[in-house]
Amino acid sequence: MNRNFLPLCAENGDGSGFKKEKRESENQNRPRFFWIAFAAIVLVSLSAGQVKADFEFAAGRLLKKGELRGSIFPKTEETEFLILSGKFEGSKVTTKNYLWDDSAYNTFLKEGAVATLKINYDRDTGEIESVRIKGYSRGKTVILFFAAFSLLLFAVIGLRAVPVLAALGLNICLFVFALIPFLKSGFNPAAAVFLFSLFSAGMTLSLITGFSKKTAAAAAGITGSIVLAWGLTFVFMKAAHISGFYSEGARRIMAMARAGNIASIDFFLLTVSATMLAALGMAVDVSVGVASFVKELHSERMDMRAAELCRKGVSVGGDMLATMINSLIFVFAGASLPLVLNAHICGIPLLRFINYEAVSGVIFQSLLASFVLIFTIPATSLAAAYLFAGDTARKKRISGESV
Amino acid sequence: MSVKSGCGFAPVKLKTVSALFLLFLFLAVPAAFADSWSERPDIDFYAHPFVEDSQEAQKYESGKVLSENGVLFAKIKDKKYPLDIYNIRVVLSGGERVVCVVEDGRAGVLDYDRTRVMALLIFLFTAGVIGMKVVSGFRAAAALLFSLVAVFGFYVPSLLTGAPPVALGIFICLVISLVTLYAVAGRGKKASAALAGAFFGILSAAFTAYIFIALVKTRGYSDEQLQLLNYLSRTLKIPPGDAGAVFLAGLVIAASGVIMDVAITISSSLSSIQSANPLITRKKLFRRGMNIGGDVIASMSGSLLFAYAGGALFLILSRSFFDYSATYLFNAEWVAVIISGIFSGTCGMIVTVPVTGAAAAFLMVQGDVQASLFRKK
Repeated sequence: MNRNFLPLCAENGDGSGFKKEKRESENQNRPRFFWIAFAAIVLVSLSAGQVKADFEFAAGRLLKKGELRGSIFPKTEETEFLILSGKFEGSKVTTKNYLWDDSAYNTFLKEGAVATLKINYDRDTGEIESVRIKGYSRGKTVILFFAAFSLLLFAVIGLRAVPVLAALGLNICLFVFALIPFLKSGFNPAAAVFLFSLFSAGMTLSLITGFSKKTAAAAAGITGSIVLAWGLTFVFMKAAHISGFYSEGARRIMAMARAGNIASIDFFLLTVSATMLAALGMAVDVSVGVASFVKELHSERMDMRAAELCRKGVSVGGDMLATMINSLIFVFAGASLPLVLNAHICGIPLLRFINYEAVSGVIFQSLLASFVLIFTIPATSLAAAYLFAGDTARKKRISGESV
Repeated sequence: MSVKSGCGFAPVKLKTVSALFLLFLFLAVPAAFADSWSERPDIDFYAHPFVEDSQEAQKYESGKVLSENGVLFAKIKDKKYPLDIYNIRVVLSGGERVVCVVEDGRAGVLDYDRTRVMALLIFLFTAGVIGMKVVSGFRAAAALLFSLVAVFGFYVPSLLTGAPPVALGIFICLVISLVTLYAVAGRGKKASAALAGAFFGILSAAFTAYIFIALVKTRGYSDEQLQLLNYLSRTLKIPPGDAGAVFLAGLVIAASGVIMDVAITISSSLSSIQSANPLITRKKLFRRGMNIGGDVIASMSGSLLFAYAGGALFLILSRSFFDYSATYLFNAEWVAVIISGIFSGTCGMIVTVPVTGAAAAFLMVQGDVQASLFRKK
């Protein structure tokens, strides 16, 4: 029964590939630890440099609340909270809860409920100056869902879920603690995103497939296609005068840069690079899919030649690409649903609509991100076919010579 | 006087818009300083281009900029107009194409006309997809066109006539996956197996998203456009009314692409393996499907993360200036909104794998007994 949870062993039903795979997985262990250790060191050193402000967010339990007051909006209610976390843990604070006519912007609390509070304090004396209610407490639900998600993952793909979850966690940490601080400190966005992509793709691949020929083929495919697609994106976005200032949050970044809180950021390069970032995951995915298929096919039919393997790889890749492009464009389409609805409601004609930078920016991003995938498939198939079939041919030659 | 509306656009009284807009400003200014909003809306309503443009019923023209002795003119339909630039971001030189409005014999430039560059890119894109695989590439491009028309040409207008966003959204996704998978994989067992997986995947993505956003108590309002939609829909009293339902529908649409992708990958690989080795048993084929599915899920969960995070890079950057405390990150509404997309997508995808594998094994392999008889011969 347990063999089902060890797909590496179960891969060849007759057991012939077992020893080879096992040796390969032993070899993988060291580099995996290397990646994890390296990531940990980078993250710790980066997070140590974080600037701390004179406020903090904490969880607070609502002890009691007064009656709803006021005849016009916002109505208010007096609330008393017991702070549950952070440096003010255990202290009781009072604040007002403002309630508006649009319930989407309100935080409705019952006594005993937990909310997120923003506590402003004096940095010298350490005394609380004011407390604000910042919304519901969502942490537990997020963690609960993550646990349920992990269980589902274990149920479907067995023990391989461990490296998957590790890669997911490390990618998030890398994003939050490495890429974002780098960008904020004024590092060239293109270089930052490229380094991040390289590191993240390398880490994901080595964690998921280990160091094998499959990884090598996938890595070759990804690197080549990212470089090509980046160039294409640069050219097209320049030609279409996409500046990047349209994005949600761009104004805020500009204001912060002007106030001197962060270094100024090249929005154009950041937009080009963010496009690559959106496709990076898919590129890793499609290349692993193609390389994985070529390997399976090769283990089923050892006699297949490189050219044929490559053709089959491109063929399966083509099928993947066909819907893969859907998947990338659908992510953008789903996200732009309210945008299109608003344009309909405001009665904006098509010519005007698609020429807003906010709209054409999204269209360019989703199309150009897809080009990463278009480039990845032939590159990966070629590399995988050459690596797998070439190796078999070489072995045959060697064994033939020895006979 | 009513605002000029394009095909399927709801006609809106200009006076109503202005009056409600002013009323809103009156409410929004004090509201902007409220503390207990789950997320304070950052949107600059006063200058939102959609609202501005909807108040000025204008005819937009595409024109070409001509430079004569350093003086710029706009050429629209073989007529030359002196030119004013209304948009601070537009810097012009001769030969540029622009979108403008003609008023009193002068052309006011509003923006660059990006249509031609976009058309070239779409052409290259289509050529790339078709070049990869001639027949199915062509079909894929057609299927993509169908999907976009289904979402933006049918779904969006019917939302404005009061259709239920979530139910219709799920239905549209199911129809799109039916058309796309049969277009890409042909009318064979490959497509049927993928379709079975995609159906279950989409339903479970919708289910996950529904439960998650109910539990984290968000309706997606940390997104600028959803705030605007909420405002427009409530004040003009037109559907869809609840922008939270549109948010949920958007999550399902976003996830359905990924789900189709996983389904077709597994089904297509299994079909190739089965044709390379016709004697393979159901159990073995299913196991190979789980192997490939494992690899795909492994990298795909990362890729969803990137697709959502890459799309929201500016947002994440701008929101994360001061504080990195875990309390903030785990509880902020915008984080919950990004996570909800990733969760619903990955859960849908995970469910897709075994369903597609089982369906493929069942459909592609003739019964085990028959196969073993064949092997004996």
